[in-house]
Amino acid sequence: MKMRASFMALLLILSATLAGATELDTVLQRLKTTAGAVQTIQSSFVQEKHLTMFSEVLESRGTFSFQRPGKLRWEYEAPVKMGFVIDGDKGRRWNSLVKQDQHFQLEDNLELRIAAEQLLVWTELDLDKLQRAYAIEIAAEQPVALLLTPRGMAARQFVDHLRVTFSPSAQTVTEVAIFEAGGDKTLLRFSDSKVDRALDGALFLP
Amino acid sequence: MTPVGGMQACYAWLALRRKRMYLLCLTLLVLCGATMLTLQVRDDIGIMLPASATLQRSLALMDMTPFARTVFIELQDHNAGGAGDQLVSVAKAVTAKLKPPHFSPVLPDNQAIPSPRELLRLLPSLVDAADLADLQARISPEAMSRRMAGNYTALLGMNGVLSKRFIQVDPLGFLEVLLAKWNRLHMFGGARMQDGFLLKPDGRTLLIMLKTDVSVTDAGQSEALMGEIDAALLSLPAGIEATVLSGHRYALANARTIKSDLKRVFSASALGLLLIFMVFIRSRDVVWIALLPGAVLLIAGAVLAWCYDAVSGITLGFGAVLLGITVDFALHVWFALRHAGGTPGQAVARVARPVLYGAATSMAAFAALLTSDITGIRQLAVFALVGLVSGLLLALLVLPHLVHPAGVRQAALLQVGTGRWNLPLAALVVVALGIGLWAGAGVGIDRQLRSVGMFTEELQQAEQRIRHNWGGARDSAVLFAEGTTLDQALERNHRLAQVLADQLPDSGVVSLDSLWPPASVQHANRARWARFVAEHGRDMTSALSVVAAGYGFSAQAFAPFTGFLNEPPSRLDPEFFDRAGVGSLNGFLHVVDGGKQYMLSLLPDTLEVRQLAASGGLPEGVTLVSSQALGGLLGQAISKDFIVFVGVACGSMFLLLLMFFRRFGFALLAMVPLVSGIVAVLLLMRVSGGSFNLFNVVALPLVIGLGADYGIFMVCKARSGADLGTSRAVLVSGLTTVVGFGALVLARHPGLHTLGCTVLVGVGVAIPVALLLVPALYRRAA
Repeated sequence: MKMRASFMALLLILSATLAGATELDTVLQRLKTTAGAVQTIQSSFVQEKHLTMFSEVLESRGTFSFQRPGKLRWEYEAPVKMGFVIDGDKGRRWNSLVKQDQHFQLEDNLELRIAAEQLLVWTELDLDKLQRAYAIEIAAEQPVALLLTPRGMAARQFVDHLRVTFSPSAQTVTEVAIFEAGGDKTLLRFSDSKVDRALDGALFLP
Repeated sequence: MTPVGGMQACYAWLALRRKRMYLLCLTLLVLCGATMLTLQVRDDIGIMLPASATLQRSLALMDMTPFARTVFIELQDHNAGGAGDQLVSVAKAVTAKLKPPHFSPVLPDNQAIPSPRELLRLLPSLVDAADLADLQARISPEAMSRRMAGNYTALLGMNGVLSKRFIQVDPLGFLEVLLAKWNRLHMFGGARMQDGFLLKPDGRTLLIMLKTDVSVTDAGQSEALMGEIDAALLSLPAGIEATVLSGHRYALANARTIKSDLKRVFSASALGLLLIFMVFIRSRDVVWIALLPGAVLLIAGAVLAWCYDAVSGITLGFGAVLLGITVDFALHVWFALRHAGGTPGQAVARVARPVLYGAATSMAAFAALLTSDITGIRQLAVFALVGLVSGLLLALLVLPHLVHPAGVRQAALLQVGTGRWNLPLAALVVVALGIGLWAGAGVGIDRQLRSVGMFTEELQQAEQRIRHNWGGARDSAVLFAEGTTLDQALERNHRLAQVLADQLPDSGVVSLDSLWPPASVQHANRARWARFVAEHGRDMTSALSVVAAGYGFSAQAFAPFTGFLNEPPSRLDPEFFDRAGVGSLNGFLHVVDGGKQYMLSLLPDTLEVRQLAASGGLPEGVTLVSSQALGGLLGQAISKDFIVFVGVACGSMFLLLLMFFRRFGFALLAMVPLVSGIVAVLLLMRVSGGSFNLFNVVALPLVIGLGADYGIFMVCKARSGADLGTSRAVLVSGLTTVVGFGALVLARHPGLHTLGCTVLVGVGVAIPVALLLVPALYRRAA
């Protein structure tokens, strides 16, 4: 009797696990077919940084533009005009505060390469890469929100977990929350997203 | 009793005891065969390297270099959109199949990111006067303000998460001074380390480095090793290509080429020998003649097994071929029995003298090999000497009883009277040989092992590719600063860095000296740092908090940095680097072996570096090891061997000939074929641009010994005037050598090929000279 009960419990756990896995796959596939099919995006964003190094919350805002394949523009408008644009393997960065305006090759700039890779993984929704880098759970179903925990030890030294929320249509990301290992966090809220509209080619000129 | 009488009596005595003699021989051969089976054969080319203390020490140090016994596997991703993490996954799958004992990773699978706090603690011991000037510039009000603006925007931007830890600990960028020093240790063409692999910035090319316990000179083990690697790379995903490079591939390529060459060469030789025997001998006796080298091989092999714990496969293989020359003794005896007339005892007795002389000169030539520094060559000398002695005894004592002599007829008459010298021809020959020697005198000695090894196009491409993608560190010269203590090694390494900065300022040296100086320098640096902090610390921290507050930083934002300024600096040890997360980088250039400490410096393997080392310009306790320098040592050994072989062989040859003939003129006459052979070899090399190397230098005693043999037989014939079938015996034995050894010209292996060319040309020229020129130079009066 005891054995039968254990067996039933095991079956329940297994079926729950399998159901969880199947549900995640379904959600990710749905995201892949919606967000992953987007050709261009242009969004405004507001960024909040809650860092112990600063007395107050750092708030900034700007615009994010993306066009397949591999064109990105991430631009802060306030409190500092700065950002970067990437087209394939070339790019440009600027920073009005430190009076910097610099062209670069992506392979020579580790810092911006990491940033560009992260943005592209999310905008192109490369599921393979995401699943290799993070353990993924569903945090909410409608709208979809994913909870991601870095798999690599190195990444875990910086980031504890991320929460990524998609729009109701699942075409775009509306919010990213990055929870750092030391307790700091960063919130990125995207709004006024325009999907699959023709974008001015000059936006992506390095 | 005269020697001739003695041989005749010996033949008669053995003729009465033939059965017992056969039984004794058979028993001896069975015993030798059984002993030979205990022979330990090493498939290791290391035994063919000189045993000089300098070279052996260089080899031992070479084994400690960062890339010794290392297998490099490059993975290249040709897929569109390929990225580094995919390659890293593939590399992990490959290395999971390549485990100890054969493989261990060179780079640690360490995912920890250097700790900025621990890195900063290295600073006080490492700042020199120039660094301090740099730090001073960073604490001016303008520089601090600029830096803080950069810190603020870095934290505001996308990668603030990554920058934060460094900015907290190092708000003024002091660590950049240290990082610049590490960047000078640029060994891998700008690649970054990830999970124990090197990854190019484009994420499409990755390098796996695995240490192995298998020596690169061990062809047998190399085959197993490469088999494991091939198996691990079998199931690579589509679009990912692997390139494998290691010394083991060279060893294997050589071993495989030699094996396939030997099949081709043996087939050609066997066919040629069969043809010669069919044309010149046409008798069932050929079986006994052909069996003689086999019997000799058993005896010589047994002696080797008795004398040495292990024998080189190269020695055994080459020696076995070499012992083919003992067939010459059998041929001379057989031709004498067939052509000399008289009783078999008389025929044997009359041919015994030239055969003995010939054997003695061949032995003298091979005895010269005993002077070599190379163990394999000394083994070869022992093998050849034992083979020659046993071949001689079997040919003179046993063979005459086995073969069928011609029917007893009148013995060829010895002619009485003097001969006539053809002096004009002799003068012409002397001039011709003199010119030949002069023309061939410039032939060089190849100091590179590589040029006599199999270096396939595929290997060349792999080498070029790895060098192009990952820098030339693998080909660097390495300077070892040795110490009984770590500090002694560091001290010597520091002196070396000073010497190089002074003597070769643009040498491009990769040295740990600036990152790991000796205790005395560390002490001076810490004192300098303490003065800097005492002088500027208070102002620096107060200015920092004012500038930082302007950008909204909290009062405690840079507490780790201000705390560090108040810490007493400590002395560096290896654990210090480990805690900072950079120990693996240092591990490349710091080796502990046999209780000794070594600091390594890498620099391009140039002539200037070798000249500096050769002129004694390196500090005490510092040794240069490089493939070029090793080639130099090897070249010296080959040069020495070459001079000694030729000198000892020619000198002893002339003395023996003088002793045999007791006439200066005849001794010189008998030398003509051998000198002609040597001149022909020199001219061939001169014309073809060849040179002497580890392989063909071994063939010289053969050319010298056989050339002398042919001279002896022909001079004996000319002096006695009796026909013992000498010319035919010289022709046939010469042809067997040419076919047996000359067939090596068909080999694809460069070393074997040059060996074949040397014998083919040397012996090929000595034969007609012996048969035609010697009789023309001295002819008996009618």
